[in-house]
This record gives sequence, structure tokens and C-alpha cells, in this order.
Amino acid sequence: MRAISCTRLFLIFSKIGLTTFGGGFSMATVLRHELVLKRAWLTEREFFDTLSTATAVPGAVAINLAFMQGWKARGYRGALAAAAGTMLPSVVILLFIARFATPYFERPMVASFLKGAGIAVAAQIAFASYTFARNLRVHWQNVFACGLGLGLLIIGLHPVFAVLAGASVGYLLMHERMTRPDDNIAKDI
Amino acid sequence: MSISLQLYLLFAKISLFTFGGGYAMIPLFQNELVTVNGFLTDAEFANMVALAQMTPGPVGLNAATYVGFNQAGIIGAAAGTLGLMTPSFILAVLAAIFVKVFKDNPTMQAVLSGVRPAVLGLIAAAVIFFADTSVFSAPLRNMWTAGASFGICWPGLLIFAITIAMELSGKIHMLWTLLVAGALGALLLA
Repeated sequence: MRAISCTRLFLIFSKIGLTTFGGGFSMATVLRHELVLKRAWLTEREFFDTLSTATAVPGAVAINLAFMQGWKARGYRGALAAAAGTMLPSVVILLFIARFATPYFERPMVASFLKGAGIAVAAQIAFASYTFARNLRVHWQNVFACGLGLGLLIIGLHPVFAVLAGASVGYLLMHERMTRPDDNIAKDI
Repeated sequence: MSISLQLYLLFAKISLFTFGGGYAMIPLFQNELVTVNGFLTDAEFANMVALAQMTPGPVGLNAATYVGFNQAGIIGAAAGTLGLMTPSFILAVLAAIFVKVFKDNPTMQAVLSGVRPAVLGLIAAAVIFFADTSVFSAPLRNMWTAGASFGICWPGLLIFAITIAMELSGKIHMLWTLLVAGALGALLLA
């Protein structure tokens, strides 16, 4: 990753915070768009490894992501700059709403606007998972781990179990094959 | 104990005991804010969650700001927000160091190559949660129990398809897709 100034980090993450609705995984979509596709600061692989770790660590995924990406780019100061950038727009907007605009949220027009925007978030996430899936090889271990992740969440288990299940699949089913130099199961992405 | 310190410690505790962020935090928020501390009533809590989802930024962070502000003004909002971020800062930076140090370790690589497709599944599940009550007429996980009453909201599906088309073109910024979808929502979903 190129050296990025703390001010740039702050500005980029405030833009990300401003365009993210609904927490961790929708933020991941925006983050991937900004850092992987638009600026090429991270590879898909680096991005997904950070996202996995941010999910496995306690706390809000979005905040963890900001801290980790900021730290990778610029150490402790970068981590603080990225996190401050992520939170500033939402804190300002929320304070404004808490103070002045709460009644407007009950208007049907505003509610259906937000519902439409929510559908766009779903579509954005769907598109991002499709482009990521294209980078993964189709072998049964990958399909199995992906199905586990999806299934565990749909039956209502916590996301951390999906990460743990994936880690177990990796450790138990892919470990031995990875140590063989002629087998490139780990060369995804 | 001053109210600000109390808010700081409360949100630090919530952050420390929630994995997976956002929606996973909500039950814990409810327990701490409504049941244990009585900061909010059930109805106020439901409004707060809706508001936190509708405004930009992480859900947990929005909730901390909102509750902090309602309890103790700007200082309270700052205390709640900082409380939520403190454990994350320490643990996320430690995790980033850990990943960097063990990046080339074969076991670590095996674990991560299993986690990657699992996270893909996790993200795909997020699509379903976002589309749940707007594209489908009932939450998808109730598909079998809802039976005949389970249907597709066609205007919702149309908005979904239009957004995908805008993404496929690769030229339209995400913020515009949100605004277009919102405007369509205001027209079609009212």
C-alpha cells in the first residue's frame, strides 16, 4: 500500500462513513469500492482478510475495519484518523436529527425514500459478493465454507460462528493440501 | 458516578461483548438500555434503532451517539461514542498486528483461505437481511411458515434490479444509486 497522509485517510473515511447505511457489511462494500477498485491500495485478498479479522474481533465491524485499515496505512495515528473520519459524519448528522428532525422521520414519503435506499444497499452488497465470488476458485472446500457462512447466518446464528466455521474448514480441510507445493488450493484471488 | 462516565463504561462494555457488529449488537443494547438501566422505553428503543439504521454510519455508533445525547447532551454523546470505540481500538490494532506477523505462516494461511469463502457467505446473508421486508413481503427465514402470505413486492424487486444495472455499468457512484433508489422508493413504495 502506498503512503497516505493522515488527512487523506480522515477525508476518505468520512466519505465512506457518509455513504454507508446500516453498519459493518454495507460499509465493507463501500470500502472495497474506494480502496480496492477505485484506488487500488489493497488487493481483494488483503481486503477480505481484514474484513474477516474485523468480524472476529469484538465491537462494531465498521469501526474495527476503520482502525485496522488506518493502522495498516499509517500506524496508530492512521488508525485514529480513519476511525474519526468514519464517525464524524454520522455523529454530526445524528446529533442534528436527534435535536431537530425526529418528527420528519414519521412522514410516509421519507419512510418510503429510506426503504428504497435500503433496497439499493441490498443490491450493492449482492453485486459486491458476485464480483468477489468470481475471484474464488470453485472447489468443494470453498463452496462448503461459503454455504456454511450463509447457512449459519440465515438460521440466526451470530456472524462470529460463520468466521469460526470457515476457520475450521480452512484448518481441517485445506491445511494439508496447502503444504504441498504442487497444489495451489491457496492461490485464490 | 457521573452520568458521562456511566455512559462511557456502558458502551465500552457493550462493544467488548458484541461480535459481528451492527445488528448483532441490538439485543445487547436493548438489554442494557431498556431492561437494566431504564434509559429508554421499549417504544423509544424501537425508534432509536430505526433512526440508527436510516442515518449514515455504523448502527452501533449511531445508537451510542443518540442515547448519549438524550441522556447528557453533547458530552454524553461524546462519552457514549468514545466508550464504544475504546475496546475496538485496542483489539483491532492488536489483531492487525497479529495478522501481519503471521501472514506467511502456513496454518494462518489455511485458516484464512477457509474464512474467505465463509465471509462471502456472510455478506450474501446480509443481502437477504436488507431485502427482507422491502423486496419480500415477509422475512425470508419465515418463508416456510408464512406460506401463502409470502410474496414478492414487485416495485421493490424493480428497484433492486435497477440498482444492479447501475452497478454493472460501473460508471455510477454508489451515492447516486442510493439517491435514485430512494427517489424510486418514494414514488413506488408509498
